[in-house]
Amino acid sequence: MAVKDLVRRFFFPILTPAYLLRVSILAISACIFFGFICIPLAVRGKSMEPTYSDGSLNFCFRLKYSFRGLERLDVVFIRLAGPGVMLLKRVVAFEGEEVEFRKGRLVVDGREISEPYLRDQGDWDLPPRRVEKGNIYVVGDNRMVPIAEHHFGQTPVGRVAGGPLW
Amino acid sequence: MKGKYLIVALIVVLGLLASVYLYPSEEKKIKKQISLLSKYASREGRESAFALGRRLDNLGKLFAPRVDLKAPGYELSGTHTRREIINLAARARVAFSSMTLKFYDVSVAIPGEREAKVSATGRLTGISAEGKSVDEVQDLELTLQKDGEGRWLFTGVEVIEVLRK
Repeated sequence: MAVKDLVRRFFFPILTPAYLLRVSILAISACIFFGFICIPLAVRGKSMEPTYSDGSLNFCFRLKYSFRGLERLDVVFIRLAGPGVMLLKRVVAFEGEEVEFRKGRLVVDGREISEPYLRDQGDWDLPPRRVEKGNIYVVGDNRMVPIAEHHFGQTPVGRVAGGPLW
Repeated sequence: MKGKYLIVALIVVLGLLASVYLYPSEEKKIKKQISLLSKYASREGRESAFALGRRLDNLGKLFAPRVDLKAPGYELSGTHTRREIINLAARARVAFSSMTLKFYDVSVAIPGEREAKVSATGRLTGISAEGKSVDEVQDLELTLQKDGEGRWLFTGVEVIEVLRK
Protein backbone atom coordinates (compact mmCIF):
# COMPACT_ATOMS: atom_id res chain seq x y z
CA MET A 1 0.00 0.00 0.00
CA ALA A 2 2.81 2.38 1.00
CA VAL A 3 4.72 1.62 -2.21
CA LYS A 4 1.60 2.19 -4.28
CA ASP A 5 1.09 5.49 -2.50
CA LEU A 6 4.71 6.49 -3.14
CA VAL A 7 4.39 5.65 -6.84
CA ARG A 8 1.17 7.60 -7.08
CA ARG A 9 2.76 10.61 -5.35
CA PHE A 10 5.81 10.36 -7.63
CA PHE A 11 3.76 10.53 -10.83
CA PHE A 12 0.95 12.74 -9.50
CA PRO A 13 2.57 14.93 -6.85
CA ILE A 14 0.67 17.41 -4.75
CA LEU A 15 1.61 20.82 -6.09
CA THR A 16 2.63 22.52 -2.88
CA PRO A 17 4.81 25.70 -2.95
CA ALA A 18 7.73 23.73 -1.47
CA TYR A 19 7.43 21.10 -4.21
CA LEU A 20 7.32 23.74 -6.98
CA LEU A 21 10.38 25.45 -5.45
CA ARG A 22 12.29 22.15 -5.40
CA VAL A 23 11.38 21.43 -9.03
CA SER A 24 12.38 24.97 -10.09
CA ILE A 25 15.75 24.75 -8.33
CA LEU A 26 16.38 21.33 -9.91
CA ALA A 27 15.46 22.61 -13.41
CA ILE A 28 17.63 25.75 -13.11
CA SER A 29 20.57 23.72 -11.73
CA ALA A 30 20.25 21.22 -14.60
CA CYS A 31 20.17 24.07 -17.15
CA ILE A 32 23.31 25.65 -15.67
CA PHE A 33 25.15 22.32 -15.30
CA PHE A 34 24.35 20.90 -18.75
CA GLY A 35 24.39 24.28 -20.50
CA PHE A 36 27.62 25.74 -19.17
CA ILE A 37 29.65 23.22 -17.14
CA CYS A 38 29.13 19.79 -18.66
CA ILE A 39 27.75 20.19 -22.18
CA PRO A 40 26.37 17.00 -23.81
CA LEU A 41 27.75 16.41 -27.32
CA ALA A 42 27.62 13.75 -30.02
CA VAL A 43 30.92 12.94 -31.71
CA ARG A 44 30.62 13.29 -35.49
CA GLY A 45 33.31 12.22 -37.94
CA LYS A 46 36.26 9.87 -37.77
CA SER A 47 39.02 12.34 -37.00
CA MET A 48 39.56 11.03 -33.45
CA GLU A 49 39.17 7.31 -34.12
CA PRO A 50 39.92 4.90 -32.52
CA THR A 51 39.82 6.91 -29.25
CA TYR A 52 36.41 8.48 -29.94
CA SER A 53 34.23 6.84 -32.55
CA ASP A 54 31.71 8.45 -34.86
CA GLY A 55 28.29 8.70 -33.24
CA SER A 56 29.45 8.23 -29.65
CA LEU A 57 28.12 10.49 -26.91
CA ASN A 58 30.23 12.49 -24.51
CA PHE A 59 30.27 15.67 -22.46
CA CYS A 60 32.47 18.73 -22.79
CA PHE A 61 33.62 19.30 -19.22
CA ARG A 62 34.49 23.00 -19.12
CA LEU A 63 36.48 22.77 -15.89
CA LYS A 64 38.66 19.81 -16.89
CA TYR A 65 41.81 21.88 -17.41
CA SER A 66 40.92 24.80 -15.16
CA PHE A 67 42.87 23.50 -12.18
CA ARG A 68 45.83 21.63 -13.65
CA GLY A 69 46.44 23.31 -17.03
CA LEU A 70 46.97 21.60 -20.37
CA GLU A 71 49.50 18.81 -20.82
CA ARG A 72 50.82 17.21 -23.96
CA LEU A 73 48.48 14.55 -25.40
CA ASP A 74 45.44 15.90 -23.55
CA VAL A 75 42.23 15.75 -25.59
CA VAL A 76 40.43 19.07 -25.89
CA PHE A 77 37.31 20.59 -27.40
CA ILE A 78 38.10 23.53 -29.67
CA ARG A 79 35.35 26.14 -29.76
CA LEU A 80 34.18 27.59 -33.09
CA ALA A 81 31.51 30.33 -32.84
CA GLY A 82 30.07 28.78 -29.66
CA PRO A 83 29.53 25.50 -27.84
CA GLY A 84 26.99 24.14 -30.34
CA VAL A 85 29.62 22.61 -32.63
CA MET A 86 33.19 22.02 -31.48
CA LEU A 87 36.26 20.21 -32.76
CA LEU A 88 37.67 17.32 -30.73
CA LYS A 89 41.47 17.15 -31.01
CA ARG A 90 44.62 16.13 -29.14
CA VAL A 91 47.21 18.67 -27.99
CA VAL A 92 50.66 17.71 -29.29
CA ALA A 93 52.72 20.90 -28.91
CA PHE A 94 52.78 24.20 -27.06
CA GLU A 95 53.91 27.74 -27.91
CA GLY A 96 57.52 28.07 -28.95
CA GLU A 97 57.86 24.36 -29.78
CA GLU A 98 58.67 23.08 -33.26
CA VAL A 99 56.35 20.36 -34.50
CA GLU A 100 56.62 18.12 -37.55
CA PHE A 101 55.61 14.72 -38.91
CA ARG A 102 58.22 12.38 -40.38
CA LYS A 103 56.67 9.40 -42.16
CA GLY A 104 53.82 9.37 -39.66
CA ARG A 105 55.98 9.89 -36.57
CA LEU A 106 55.20 12.96 -34.45
CA VAL A 107 58.36 14.93 -33.71
CA VAL A 108 58.40 17.91 -31.33
CA ASP A 109 61.63 19.94 -30.95
CA GLY A 110 63.51 17.14 -32.69
CA ARG A 111 62.29 14.49 -30.23
CA GLU A 112 59.93 11.72 -31.29
CA ILE A 113 56.73 11.61 -29.23
CA SER A 114 55.22 8.22 -28.45
CA GLU A 115 51.54 8.02 -29.37
CA PRO A 116 50.15 4.80 -27.91
CA TYR A 117 46.56 5.73 -28.77
CA LEU A 118 47.11 5.42 -32.55
CA ARG A 119 45.68 2.47 -34.42
CA ASP A 120 47.96 3.13 -37.36
CA GLN A 121 50.77 5.65 -37.55
CA GLY A 122 50.10 6.48 -41.20
CA ASP A 123 52.67 8.13 -43.43
CA TRP A 124 52.17 11.84 -42.88
CA ASP A 125 55.01 14.16 -43.74
CA LEU A 126 54.85 17.76 -42.55
CA PRO A 127 57.83 20.11 -42.53
CA PRO A 128 58.70 21.63 -39.14
CA ARG A 129 56.78 24.71 -38.01
CA ARG A 130 56.93 26.69 -34.80
CA VAL A 131 53.85 27.10 -32.62
CA GLU A 132 53.16 30.82 -32.18
CA LYS A 133 52.80 32.63 -28.87
CA GLY A 134 49.47 31.95 -27.17
CA ASN A 135 48.77 28.94 -29.40
CA ILE A 136 48.73 25.17 -29.08
CA TYR A 137 49.09 22.58 -31.85
CA VAL A 138 46.28 20.04 -32.08
CA VAL A 139 45.84 16.91 -34.21
CA GLY A 140 43.26 14.13 -34.48
CA ASP A 141 44.11 10.51 -33.65
CA ASN A 142 43.07 9.09 -37.02
CA ARG A 143 46.19 9.27 -39.18
CA MET A 144 44.71 7.05 -41.88
CA VAL A 145 42.97 10.13 -43.25
CA PRO A 146 45.16 11.76 -45.93
CA ILE A 147 47.00 14.74 -44.44
CA ALA A 148 45.35 17.19 -46.87
CA GLU A 149 41.87 16.15 -45.70
CA HIS A 150 42.58 16.13 -41.96
CA HIS A 151 41.80 19.29 -39.99
CA PHE A 152 44.65 20.01 -37.63
CA GLY A 153 47.06 22.80 -36.79
CA GLN A 154 47.69 25.58 -34.36
CA THR A 155 44.94 27.47 -32.63
CA PRO A 156 44.76 30.07 -29.86
CA VAL A 157 44.70 28.43 -26.43
CA GLY A 158 41.67 30.62 -25.65
CA ARG A 159 39.64 28.46 -28.03
CA VAL A 160 39.95 25.45 -25.74
CA ALA A 161 36.46 25.01 -24.31
CA GLY A 162 37.26 22.04 -22.07
CA GLY A 163 37.87 18.33 -22.34
CA PRO A 164 35.78 15.20 -22.79
CA LEU A 165 34.41 13.74 -19.57
CA TRP A 166 35.77 10.28 -20.46
CA MET B 1 -14.44 40.49 -10.89
CA LYS B 2 -11.52 38.04 -11.08
CA GLY B 3 -12.73 36.90 -14.50
CA LYS B 4 -12.45 40.46 -15.84
CA TYR B 5 -8.85 40.73 -14.72
CA LEU B 6 -8.08 37.40 -16.30
CA ILE B 7 -9.55 38.49 -19.63
CA VAL B 8 -7.60 41.78 -19.53
CA ALA B 9 -4.38 39.90 -18.71
CA LEU B 10 -5.05 37.46 -21.56
CA ILE B 11 -5.66 40.32 -24.00
CA VAL B 12 -2.43 42.05 -22.92
CA VAL B 13 -0.43 38.82 -23.35
CA LEU B 14 -1.98 38.13 -26.76
CA GLY B 15 -1.31 41.73 -27.81
CA LEU B 16 2.32 41.43 -26.80
CA LEU B 17 2.69 38.14 -28.67
CA ALA B 18 1.02 39.64 -31.77
CA SER B 19 3.30 42.70 -31.69
CA VAL B 20 6.39 40.47 -31.40
CA TYR B 21 5.15 38.36 -34.32
CA LEU B 22 4.01 41.25 -36.53
CA TYR B 23 6.88 43.62 -35.77
CA PRO B 24 9.97 41.41 -35.37
CA SER B 25 13.14 42.96 -33.98
CA GLU B 26 16.07 43.65 -36.30
CA GLU B 27 17.87 40.66 -34.78
CA LYS B 28 14.96 38.39 -35.66
CA LYS B 29 14.90 39.74 -39.21
CA ILE B 30 18.63 38.96 -39.56
CA LYS B 31 18.17 35.47 -38.14
CA LYS B 32 15.37 34.94 -40.63
CA GLN B 33 17.77 35.85 -43.48
CA ILE B 34 20.26 33.30 -42.12
CA SER B 35 17.64 30.58 -42.01
CA LEU B 36 16.64 31.46 -45.59
CA LEU B 37 20.29 31.22 -46.64
CA SER B 38 20.39 27.77 -45.07
CA LYS B 39 17.15 26.78 -46.82
CA TYR B 40 18.09 27.97 -50.31
CA ALA B 41 21.66 26.67 -50.16
CA SER B 42 20.59 23.17 -49.15
CA ARG B 43 19.69 20.46 -51.60
CA GLU B 44 17.73 17.26 -51.07
CA GLY B 45 18.40 14.76 -53.82
CA ARG B 46 17.36 15.45 -57.42
CA GLU B 47 15.70 18.74 -58.24
CA SER B 48 14.14 20.01 -61.44
CA ALA B 49 15.76 22.80 -63.46
CA PHE B 50 12.81 25.02 -62.59
CA ALA B 51 13.15 24.38 -58.83
CA LEU B 52 16.91 24.88 -59.04
CA GLY B 53 16.52 28.19 -60.88
CA ARG B 54 13.98 29.45 -58.37
CA ARG B 55 16.12 28.45 -55.40
CA LEU B 56 19.20 30.13 -56.84
CA ASP B 57 17.21 33.22 -57.68
CA ASN B 58 15.91 33.39 -54.11
CA LEU B 59 19.43 32.79 -52.82
CA GLY B 60 20.76 35.69 -54.92
CA LYS B 61 18.12 38.02 -53.46
CA LEU B 62 19.63 37.52 -50.00
CA PHE B 63 22.91 39.11 -51.13
CA ALA B 64 23.86 42.73 -51.81
CA PRO B 65 24.98 43.66 -55.36
CA ARG B 66 28.61 43.29 -54.22
CA VAL B 67 29.78 40.75 -51.68
CA ASP B 68 33.22 40.36 -50.07
CA LEU B 69 34.31 36.77 -49.55
CA LYS B 70 37.30 36.00 -47.34
CA ALA B 71 38.20 32.34 -47.14
CA PRO B 72 41.82 31.47 -46.38
CA GLY B 73 42.83 28.30 -48.17
CA TYR B 74 40.06 28.59 -50.77
CA GLU B 75 40.15 30.31 -54.14
CA LEU B 76 36.94 32.22 -53.49
CA SER B 77 38.40 35.24 -51.73
CA GLY B 78 37.60 38.61 -53.29
CA THR B 79 34.66 40.80 -54.18
CA HIS B 80 31.87 39.08 -56.11
CA THR B 81 28.74 40.32 -57.80
CA ARG B 82 25.37 38.83 -56.97
CA ARG B 83 25.45 36.91 -60.26
CA GLU B 84 28.85 35.44 -59.38
CA ILE B 85 27.50 34.33 -55.99
CA ILE B 86 24.62 32.56 -57.77
CA ASN B 87 27.09 30.89 -60.14
CA LEU B 88 29.25 29.76 -57.20
CA ALA B 89 26.19 28.31 -55.48
CA ALA B 90 25.14 26.56 -58.70
CA ARG B 91 28.61 25.02 -59.06
CA ALA B 92 28.56 23.86 -55.43
CA ARG B 93 25.17 22.23 -55.96
CA VAL B 94 26.44 20.35 -59.00
CA ALA B 95 29.30 18.99 -56.87
CA PHE B 96 26.83 17.48 -54.39
CA SER B 97 24.04 14.98 -54.86
CA SER B 98 22.61 16.19 -51.54
CA MET B 99 23.76 18.92 -49.20
CA THR B 100 22.56 20.63 -46.06
CA LEU B 101 23.87 23.92 -44.74
CA LYS B 102 23.06 24.68 -41.12
CA PHE B 103 24.11 27.49 -38.81
CA TYR B 104 24.79 27.05 -35.12
CA ASP B 105 25.63 29.45 -32.29
CA VAL B 106 24.32 32.43 -34.24
CA SER B 107 25.00 35.69 -32.44
CA VAL B 108 24.01 39.04 -33.92
CA ALA B 109 25.59 42.42 -33.22
CA ILE B 110 24.13 45.60 -34.72
CA PRO B 111 26.80 48.28 -34.28
CA GLY B 112 25.16 50.74 -36.69
CA GLU B 113 21.59 51.40 -37.73
CA ARG B 114 22.13 49.81 -41.15
CA GLU B 115 24.97 47.39 -40.50
CA ALA B 116 25.09 44.08 -38.66
CA LYS B 117 27.73 41.48 -37.87
CA VAL B 118 26.85 37.87 -37.30
CA SER B 119 29.08 35.24 -35.78
CA ALA B 120 28.06 31.63 -36.44
CA THR B 121 29.33 28.13 -37.00
CA GLY B 122 28.43 26.91 -40.48
CA ARG B 123 28.10 23.18 -41.01
CA LEU B 124 27.89 21.66 -44.46
CA THR B 125 26.93 18.01 -44.65
CA GLY B 126 26.05 15.93 -47.64
CA ILE B 127 27.08 13.46 -50.29
CA SER B 128 29.38 14.59 -53.07
CA ALA B 129 28.63 13.76 -56.71
CA GLU B 130 31.26 10.98 -56.41
CA GLY B 131 29.33 9.47 -53.50
CA LYS B 132 31.73 10.66 -50.81
CA SER B 133 30.32 11.78 -47.47
CA VAL B 134 31.14 15.39 -46.57
CA ASP B 135 30.97 17.02 -43.14
CA GLU B 136 32.65 20.45 -42.93
CA VAL B 137 32.41 22.98 -40.13
CA GLN B 138 33.68 26.55 -40.26
CA ASP B 139 33.67 29.51 -37.93
CA LEU B 140 32.02 32.30 -39.92
CA GLU B 141 31.63 36.03 -39.66
CA LEU B 142 28.83 37.41 -41.82
CA THR B 143 28.25 41.08 -42.53
CA LEU B 144 24.84 42.44 -43.50
CA GLN B 145 23.58 45.84 -44.55
CA LYS B 146 20.05 47.16 -44.60
CA ASP B 147 18.90 48.38 -48.00
CA GLY B 148 16.46 51.20 -48.76
CA GLU B 149 13.48 48.83 -48.40
CA GLY B 150 14.54 47.69 -44.93
CA ARG B 151 15.82 44.28 -46.04
CA TRP B 152 19.02 42.93 -44.51
CA LEU B 153 21.35 41.74 -47.30
CA PHE B 154 24.61 39.84 -46.97
CA THR B 155 27.59 42.01 -47.93
CA GLY B 156 30.42 39.89 -46.58
CA VAL B 157 31.27 36.32 -45.62
CA GLU B 158 34.51 35.59 -43.82
CA VAL B 159 35.77 32.15 -42.89
CA ILE B 160 37.73 32.42 -39.65
CA GLU B 161 40.72 30.11 -39.67
CA VAL B 162 40.51 28.09 -36.46
CA LEU B 163 43.26 25.56 -37.21
CA ARG B 164 46.32 26.64 -39.17
CA LYS B 165 48.63 23.89 -40.38
